[in-house]
Amino acid sequence: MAEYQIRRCDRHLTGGIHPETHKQLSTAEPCVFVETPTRLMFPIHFSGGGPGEALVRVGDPVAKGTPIIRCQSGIVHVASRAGTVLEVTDHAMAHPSSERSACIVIEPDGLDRQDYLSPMNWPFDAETLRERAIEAGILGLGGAGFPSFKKWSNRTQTLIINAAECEPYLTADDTLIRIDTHSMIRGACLLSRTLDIQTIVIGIEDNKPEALQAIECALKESRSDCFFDIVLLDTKYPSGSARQLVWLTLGIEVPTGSRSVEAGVIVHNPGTLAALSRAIDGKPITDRIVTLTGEFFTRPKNVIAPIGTPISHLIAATDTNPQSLHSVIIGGPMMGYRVTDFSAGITKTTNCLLAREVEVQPESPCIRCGACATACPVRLQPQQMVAALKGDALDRAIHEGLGDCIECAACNAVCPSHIPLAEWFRRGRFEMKERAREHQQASDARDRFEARNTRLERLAQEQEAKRAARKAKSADALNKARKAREEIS
Amino acid sequence: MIHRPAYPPRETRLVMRSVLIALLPGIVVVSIFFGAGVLLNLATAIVTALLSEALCLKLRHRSIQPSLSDWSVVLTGVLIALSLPQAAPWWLTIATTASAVILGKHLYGGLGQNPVNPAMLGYALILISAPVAMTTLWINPLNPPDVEAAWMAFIGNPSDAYTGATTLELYQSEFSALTALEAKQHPLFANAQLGFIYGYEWVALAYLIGGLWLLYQRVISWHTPVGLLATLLVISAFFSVDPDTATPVWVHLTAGAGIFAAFFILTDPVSGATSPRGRLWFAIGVGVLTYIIRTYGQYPDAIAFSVLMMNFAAPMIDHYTRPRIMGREASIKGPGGQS
Amino acid sequence: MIDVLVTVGSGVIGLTVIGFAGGALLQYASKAFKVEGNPLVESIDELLPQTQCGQCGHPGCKPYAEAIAHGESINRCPPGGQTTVDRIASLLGVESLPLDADTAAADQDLVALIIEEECIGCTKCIQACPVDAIVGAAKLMHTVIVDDCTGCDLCIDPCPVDCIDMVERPKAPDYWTPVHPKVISTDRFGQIEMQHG
Repeated sequence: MAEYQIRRCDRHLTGGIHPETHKQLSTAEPCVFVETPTRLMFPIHFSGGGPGEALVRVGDPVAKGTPIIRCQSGIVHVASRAGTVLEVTDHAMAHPSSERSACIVIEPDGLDRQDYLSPMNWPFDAETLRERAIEAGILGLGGAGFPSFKKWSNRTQTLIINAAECEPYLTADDTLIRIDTHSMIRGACLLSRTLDIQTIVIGIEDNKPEALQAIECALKESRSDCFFDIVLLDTKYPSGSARQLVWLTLGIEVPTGSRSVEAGVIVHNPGTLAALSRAIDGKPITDRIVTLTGEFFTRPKNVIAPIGTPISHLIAATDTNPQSLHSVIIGGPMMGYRVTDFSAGITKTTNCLLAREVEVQPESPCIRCGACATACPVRLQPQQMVAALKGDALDRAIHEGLGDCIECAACNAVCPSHIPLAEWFRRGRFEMKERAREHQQASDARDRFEARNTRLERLAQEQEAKRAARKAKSADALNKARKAREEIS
Repeated sequence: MIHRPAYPPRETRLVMRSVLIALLPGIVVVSIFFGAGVLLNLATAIVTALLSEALCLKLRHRSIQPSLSDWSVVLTGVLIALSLPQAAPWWLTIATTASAVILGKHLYGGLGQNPVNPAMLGYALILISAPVAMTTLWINPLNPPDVEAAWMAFIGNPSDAYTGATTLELYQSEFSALTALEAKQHPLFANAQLGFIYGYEWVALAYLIGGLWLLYQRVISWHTPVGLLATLLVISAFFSVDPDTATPVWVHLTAGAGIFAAFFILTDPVSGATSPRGRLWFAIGVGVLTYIIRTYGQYPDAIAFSVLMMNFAAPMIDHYTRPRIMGREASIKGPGGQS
Repeated sequence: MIDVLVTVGSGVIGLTVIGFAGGALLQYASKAFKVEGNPLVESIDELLPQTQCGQCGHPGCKPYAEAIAHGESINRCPPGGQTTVDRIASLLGVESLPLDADTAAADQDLVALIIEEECIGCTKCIQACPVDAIVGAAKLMHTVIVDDCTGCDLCIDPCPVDCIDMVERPKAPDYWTPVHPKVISTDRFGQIEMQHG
């Protein structure tokens, strides 16, 4: 039995909000597998892990697990079912940009061909595990999609399992912990043993008693010698944000501008760790749990779906007619985005489909009531930042702390004037990063310019020196010849 | 009303509506002790405010209905009507309200853009422009007018029988020669039912109840009222070591616009400071300036000027009272940013 | 008469003394708190795009920054665009000017592209590039490193076979921009359309 303790978190988030959680909507029915769809869609550049290149061509047969995309970061995406590559074409995607981009379309043939990796035997070192994580395509399944291997280093001291799932409506992590606890624990333990981590912290909100019970049972049966520190958090949004979670569970404030990994802490989604456990056994990520929830779905539930399943197929799995919906939100009500083209396929980071109507309230001017500042979990002043951004004063907004915004949209939820604050900050942060990138390019150009000038000066000086030396040499020879002639005459 | 909401109201018009509801007890008590003049002023001010805002919106080519339906200008009108002398003639109310809405709000861009409190701007403008009307038309609560007399005052024929000096005016003029004990013989204090000032004490209590309800509903935070009232309390208590020369603590708190301003004037979110600590310092500043002007200035009540002065200081207060951002070592100071 | 003189005299003398005292204080402050170097030039240089193209008439961005610090007009940098003009104006505390160039061309983000089929390997473009963004050697293929190219187009003229084109800088395949929220009518002067639900 693994050593563990359960403790109540004694720190409380300044800020944050308590929205209606609506979690019961999708946990009433058991989690089921969906039927294999007729098409699977894989965006080449937007599957997570950076821009990619296709590894297969039209007509190639693929098995479950055959690599089809390799990304710039190394991450590999595999075919989630056996079939044939039907086409590689521009297609709608499950992405906030609502652009169309190149996608690999696979037609599953229903057969059970597999193309897995070889199982890894313990002991293995960090480098081997990293390579396996790259080949199996492990990235943050909580929604951010950050390549997991990049977080692992020998500086890591603590692993936090992010079981908070603070966003309303979402129950994918809750479901995964309930039905696949052993994989999550095993993944966490193997990762910890490899990176020499002593403590594993599980941050879980107190509205998940069944998940907590499942964790306890799994820990009792586990033979791991890692110590598990289970922290019960107050149900508050956004306690599941990485920085907030690190502070709540460990009391460490990650300094501005740096990531939690630099503070020696890695935060992983439970699904990511379960996928890691399967990857060690040789199975790359081919499926994921998706919460299908919202008042417009007839039978909301959680499902296990292959990556690349079209959204329309998942909508139909809830006994809802996709034609009856105008749009669906991918993600939760706070950080999600709307898509209208339901032929797009889900990616590894699609954790929820939410179908609900939200009345778009007209925006009125900011009355500087400060409710947004009270709700901000990072203690920013959104009213000051949005005033600067609306007035085209990006420098002012950055000075107020735009770089520290986690885009959680808690401020949106409380604003009495219905100002889309989070949208302003997303746009402002994008422009900030663009500007920083341009500035970096300009600095590099200046460095190269100055290096070139130095080089040219140096070359010119060397030329001068050579010319002077030659001149001196020939003058010398001339003198010698003249002297010789004088002596003779 | 029994349960406390977890967050401030989610609509601007609900915020305004809550403040108007909180003012109702005060309005009722003022009408009882000071006659129907305040009701006539209220009606005039509300109508003028709505018409002025509609005119301004038309001139600015903006749609009228959404702006009027957020009730903010109605609140401005009500606050002005409650600040003006109760026997004020119709033109005084109209002038104050129109200048407040036009010069104090729409000149700067409408809701959310005014740098100063519009009600106080209107009040200060009219106080300087029509000082006689603003200082001689306060009703004496010991002899309030009936409806007909109130109407006469409204149309411009006030009767001296009903008007008198306010408490602060008394302390500035007559009582400066008297000792504290002698001052206490004045009928305003001798007839007081709660032990303070006849009439005015009930008004202060009514505003206090409304203000506390606003606090309970999370429409306002405690920083502003506590800042102003505590400052006035502390400073006047300090100077009350010599009771014969200083205005007493309880006069500073119950007379004039002290409580009314603490909960309803200073709490204007647009022109005040925006962080909680900032609001505290803002209110403290208003308190200090109010005490100074009341004691050493020529105006009996100084809330309007103090609020206007602190409105100009509010951006700087915001720059120095930011909370510490998570992950940073200290709170950011100063305006910052090139553009 | 005497008291008038005394009054006026004492006023004049008093103010003169105060003036001298203030001047002495300022002199001391200017020496004691002096900042080494000329940070203004560096600050202006930080705002310039470092294209080193010479379109402003100076051989590089740093010389132009120095010229601005000595009074040169601030609106002569096309690659920086109007944004840079405004930022420099804000830094110096002066009125901004319209960009003294074709603004449409200035807004484009261009890079050089060598058409490899036509390149003869003469290295003239390599010598011309101010930021060493072209790789190549004599008689061997020349190529522009896109990430290093600043779009100054100084390589276009020296090429004897005119095989260099200026094309738009390619964006990364996964580049996307979040939507810019609308500004409602009460936020900005001139926008009349009001948002209604």
